[in-house]
Amino acid sequence: MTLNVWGISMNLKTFKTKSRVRRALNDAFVFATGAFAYWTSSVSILAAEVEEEEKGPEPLAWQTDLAIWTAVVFVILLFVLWLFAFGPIVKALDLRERNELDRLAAAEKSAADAKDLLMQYRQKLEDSEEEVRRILADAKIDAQKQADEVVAEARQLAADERERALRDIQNASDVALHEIAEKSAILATTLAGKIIKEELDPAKHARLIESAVADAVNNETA
Amino acid sequence: MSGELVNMGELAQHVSDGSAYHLPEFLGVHLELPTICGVQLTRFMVVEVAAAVLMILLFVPLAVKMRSGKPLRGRFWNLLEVFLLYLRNEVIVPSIGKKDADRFTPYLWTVFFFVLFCNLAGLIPWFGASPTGALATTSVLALSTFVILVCSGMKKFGIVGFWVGQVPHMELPFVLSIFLKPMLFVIEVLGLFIKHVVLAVRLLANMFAGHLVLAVMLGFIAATADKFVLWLGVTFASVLMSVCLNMLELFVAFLQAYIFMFLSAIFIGMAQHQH
Repeated sequence: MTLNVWGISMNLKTFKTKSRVRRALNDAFVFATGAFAYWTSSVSILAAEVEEEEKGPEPLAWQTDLAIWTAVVFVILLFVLWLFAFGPIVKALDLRERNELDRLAAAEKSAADAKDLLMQYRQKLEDSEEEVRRILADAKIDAQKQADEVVAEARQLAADERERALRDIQNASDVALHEIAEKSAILATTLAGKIIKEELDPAKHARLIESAVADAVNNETA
Repeated sequence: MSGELVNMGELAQHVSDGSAYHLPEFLGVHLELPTICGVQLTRFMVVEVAAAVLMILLFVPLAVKMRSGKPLRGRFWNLLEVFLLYLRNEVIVPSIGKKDADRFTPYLWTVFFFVLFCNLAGLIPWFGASPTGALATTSVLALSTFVILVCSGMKKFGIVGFWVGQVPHMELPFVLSIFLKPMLFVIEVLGLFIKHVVLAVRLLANMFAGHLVLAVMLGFIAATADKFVLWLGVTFASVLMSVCLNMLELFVAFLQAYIFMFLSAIFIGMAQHQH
């Protein structure tokens, strides 16, 4: 006996039924196989009918024309953009990057130079302030020194003037005394000569006068 | 407007490729794309060309303006430059390395903006869905990354060196290495292929699913067209949800373009710096 369910044929004679249980199991297996075959066939037929009726979307469907078209368009696009757009843009970006790095390096160098210059100027300013302080101190010292010298010179001049004045006074006094003594001696001699007359010749008279003047000067000095 | 529009096949036509534009019915215009040299033009093909032309129109003038190396003037050009600089400095250079990054930057920029513009094209009404929602497009893009990866790797390490370098360096006894290294080689090479297949499928699935959900959301309106009260409520909710989903799609468009470019950069970086 042969069972045919949806194209699946089975010879039931090959199943040796030794017991009722085994026979029941065999029947169940055959029934299940047939049912499964029927279900899958039905679903396939239904699916085919739906597909035929609706022609639903096939996202994985291959379109050779579109693939070749896409390849051609994309390769041409890539070539054109590489030559005229993205290639030059990459170069421009590299150039800009290099320029920016150069500018950055230059700016850093300028900043470092400016810092050095600032330090130098600060140092110079400090040195200048120190120099100014030193110059002012020196000027003060010089001024004081000059003032002292001027004062000392003035004092010295004053002292010299005083000494010279004193000396002049002394000289004048001496001359005056000498003249007084001389005149006094002449007068005394004249008087004495008149008194004694003939006892004195001109030579004696002169020696007597000089002696009298010297005595007078010595007395005055003493 | 009737319940017939809820047919999945017709809905799918709005998010998949086709040779005609679905313009509003009241215009009474049926725009069929021509055949050129035996090749039937499709909406995706037109979108790809439009994206390519737009990229050339945007980036060639930008390159001219940037050629002097001086900073750009103008908000729009600065915006474009911000995109380029971000991708280069934050994604490409960290992934590939400063030394090799500039060689691959033009390719990765091209991939990013091409995918982005194709993604965004799907959000423009009646212009056509995203070409990135088709396996052919994403496969070609993933294949281009694969080719660049393999070629650049073989150029750097030599043909044998590149393929042998796929096996991680391990201090193994000789007997073990005889068995293990060939197995590891097979696994690594398979992994290399699978990574790029996944790269294609990820973008495809995200873009297709997003547009399909949008179409279904709007399809509810047609489904309830014969019940006026219900139609009013459903229309309001559908339009609201569609607006929200469009915003999400806008984000997804950028995100998927970024992910595609990011993974491409990582794969290329891995090929340039072997185990």
